[in-house]
Amino acid sequence: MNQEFLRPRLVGRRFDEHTLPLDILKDFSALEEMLIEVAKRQYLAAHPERQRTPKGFTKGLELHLTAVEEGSAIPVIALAFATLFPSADADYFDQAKDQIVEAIAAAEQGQQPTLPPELLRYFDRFGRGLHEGEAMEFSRSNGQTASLTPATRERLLRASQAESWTEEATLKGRIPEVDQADHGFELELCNGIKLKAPLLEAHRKTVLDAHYSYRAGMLVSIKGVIQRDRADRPKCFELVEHVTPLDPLDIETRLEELAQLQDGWLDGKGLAPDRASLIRLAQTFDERFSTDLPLPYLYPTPEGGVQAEWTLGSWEISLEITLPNLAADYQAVHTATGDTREQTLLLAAEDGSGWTALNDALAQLQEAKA
Amino acid sequence: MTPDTLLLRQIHPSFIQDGRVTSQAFRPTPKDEFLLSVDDGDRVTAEASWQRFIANPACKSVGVQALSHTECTAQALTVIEDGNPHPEHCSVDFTAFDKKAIEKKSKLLRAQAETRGWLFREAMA
Repeated sequence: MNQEFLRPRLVGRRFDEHTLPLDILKDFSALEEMLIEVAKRQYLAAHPERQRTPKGFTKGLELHLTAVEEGSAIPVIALAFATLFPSADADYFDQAKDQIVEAIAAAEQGQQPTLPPELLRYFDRFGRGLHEGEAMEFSRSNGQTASLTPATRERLLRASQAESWTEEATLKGRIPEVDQADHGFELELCNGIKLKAPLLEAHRKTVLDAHYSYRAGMLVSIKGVIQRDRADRPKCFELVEHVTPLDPLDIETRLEELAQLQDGWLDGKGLAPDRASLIRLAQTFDERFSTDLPLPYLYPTPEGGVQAEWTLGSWEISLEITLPNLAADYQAVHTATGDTREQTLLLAAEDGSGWTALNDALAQLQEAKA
Repeated sequence: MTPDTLLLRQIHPSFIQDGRVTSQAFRPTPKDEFLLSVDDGDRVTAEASWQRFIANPACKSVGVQALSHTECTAQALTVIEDGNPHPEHCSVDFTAFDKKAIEKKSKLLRAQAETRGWLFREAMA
């Protein structure tokens, strides 16, 4: 039989359509393991004369997802019993649930959670699938709500005294080393940090191709689970899910590289571009730049801006972008005739007119090249 | 100096992406008072020019490209043999031109330098 057990409310853009991404189910699987361990502790606390829980304490007990309700998305999770009637031990699972929810509430309020550190380490996997801006809300017995967010989870893990913990991440970089005998490789991030990663058969060809093209600067994007230490430094990949080759001119990656520049980068001169403006520029490039056109080469300017350049046949083209206002000067010069075309573009215009004008101007030159 | 003299230009690591050098490398920055620093290729090799440049810890270069004296003249740019801060030092004079004209000239110089290729690259050292 089934008995309704938990109705957490999942908040965030991914849950707006009242559906659950399958990815988040891994978190509830980890919650099930955590509940069992906490319930065992509850049982032993109630029976101090016992050394261990009775045989079959958790036998036939499982969490089942029975429905997903609206608001943003509310998974209805039931405690499923193999028997016709609820087990007498089910009360310990209710107590365990309350303990876990109170631990989340304590962390949210900046207090020390009451669960012991070894049980708090289950938050390494429970809550890992939440992205920034997302939350799992649980009802407390006093009617209030406890909210598990990436920030609350980090506080719980710091309270667990763990030296490191894991998180889902997508990182970009180059592959300087592959150890086929040891089934591993290294990803070199743009800030020079190298992370070891397991080499799976499914990724072998992509990883080897990227390694052979390391000196040519070939970039890959790796999605997986990384270990991060208490100082917030990435240590290694624990799990690799996807390895994707990137265009050598990938906009986001190049702008991340430019974000590493410091004031004085140009032989003592040169202002560093503003990081937030670079992120905004990467987003608008992604949304507005025509996918039919070749990607530009991107360079920093000494004034703290970005210069995009293209060579289309005999046309040399530049777009000097001022940050943070995204005002841009476009200039195209025909190297044989000296013919020159210039215009000022406002790439921040809400109607996208600046990007439309850029796309049209480049498309014309591309056609002329053909 | 002859019309064929190559004027050696250091390329900063941030001014290259996927092997392509920006046109900014061939124009003076606003703080350079419209004078582009180069070395006289008749008097110093590209490698020696690079070695001297990077000997200053504040200066970075991944290698050396060049513009010819003729290419500068064709763009109405005067080459000044100023010998300062070292004897082989020259300056390409952009003072007579506004920003847009300077950008246009730098594009033409870049294209010619790219066709000529690298005279020296760091990896060769």
